[in-house]
Amino acid sequence: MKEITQESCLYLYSIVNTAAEQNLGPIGINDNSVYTIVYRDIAAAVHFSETKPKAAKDEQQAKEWIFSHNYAIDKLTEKFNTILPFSFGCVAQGNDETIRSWMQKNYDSFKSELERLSDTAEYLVQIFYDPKVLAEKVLKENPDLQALNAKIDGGSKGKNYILKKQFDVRRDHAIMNELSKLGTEFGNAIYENTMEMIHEEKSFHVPEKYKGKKSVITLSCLVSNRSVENLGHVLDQINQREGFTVRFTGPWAPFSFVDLKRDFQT
Amino acid sequence: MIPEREGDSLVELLDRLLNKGLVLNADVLISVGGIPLIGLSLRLLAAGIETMLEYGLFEQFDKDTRAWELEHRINKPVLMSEEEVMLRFYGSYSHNQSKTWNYCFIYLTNRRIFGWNKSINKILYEVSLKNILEITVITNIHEEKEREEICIKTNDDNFLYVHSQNINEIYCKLIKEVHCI
Repeated sequence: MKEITQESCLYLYSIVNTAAEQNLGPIGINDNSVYTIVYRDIAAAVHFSETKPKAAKDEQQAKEWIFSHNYAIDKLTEKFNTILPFSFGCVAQGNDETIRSWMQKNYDSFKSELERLSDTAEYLVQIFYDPKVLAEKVLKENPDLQALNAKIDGGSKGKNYILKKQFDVRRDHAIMNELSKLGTEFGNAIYENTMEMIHEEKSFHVPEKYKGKKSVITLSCLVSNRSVENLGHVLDQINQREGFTVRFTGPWAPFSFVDLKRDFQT
Repeated sequence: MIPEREGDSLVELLDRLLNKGLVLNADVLISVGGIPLIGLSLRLLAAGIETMLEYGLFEQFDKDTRAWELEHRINKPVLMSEEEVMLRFYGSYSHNQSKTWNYCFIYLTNRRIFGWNKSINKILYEVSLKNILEITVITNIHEEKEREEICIKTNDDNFLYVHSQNINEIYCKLIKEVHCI
């Protein structure tokens, strides 16, 4: 029997489709048992804590918590297929009943969001380019640049410097135009295979093996399970183009696409 | 291509777990290397919060969160020894041909120029003054308007573009600091 105190609280992992109260084992943060609090045919997956959470004692612990949260989300996705993941660190003060009445009030939003996201998953697509290859390509395709390039080394030191500078600026502009053209082209091809797509303005983490390359575009994509293969095919084609590399990660729980702002019950 | 989860890295998880997903307004008070993570969940469900408050879920947490945040609030970035701030301004920066401009506090010191995000106490980029090859003021089109930007070329062939008000003041100070190195 859980000791319910003034301090007791629930750490939230996700909203899932299930009508069964169940204990999913010690998959939570600090090996806490994660269980479901059911309202009708949906449930909140939580762990219970007698005391309110405290700050992590050090960086190591904070990291472990982040990894544990992610692990629990993966396990919940495995079991329930579609879930609405909570951001790290969402804690509600109270007990099962509090959560249940909160779900009751927001049942329709949760249910419709679970339906909208069923049989989908989130994927991250990052496209990189090799600046050297692209610089060669724009030079090859641009006669004005070639002409300017040919003039360098012909004049005085001062004049060469100015020409070189002019060349650099124009080449950089040509690269920028090329990238924006390709970014749109890639974006469109990818978009056809997704249900929703978000252009990540803030660049996502770039793993070590892609260092030295530069980012063309980073997209979070909500993809229906039957379209994943097609999307992979499109990405293959981009990946085969000279100078371009694609990173394709997933499946992730739909972190970027859960949206309850629209009709959250107040 | 087949999507992979190549051994999830912490940074990758932070991108997703802290900035995305359903949120409530009270976060667990944790700290990664002294960096308060509270306040990072930006997408607050305004309506949802009210519901939670109505159920009495968060009042105490909310108070505690604020108290903790005030106590731990960080007002300036950590500088190197003998590093001195010469100029601090709010502006935006962009790397190379990227079209994305990120806004932050930009610091010019006697050692480097860097962008600092106050809420997560993170240095977003930095360029050591001794690695700067060239500084120019260029005219660029931004959101269909012409404006002046500072273009900084570094010895690894990268370009950093900086924009703010008072471009000329920043340019002069930057040139002066680079010359002192």
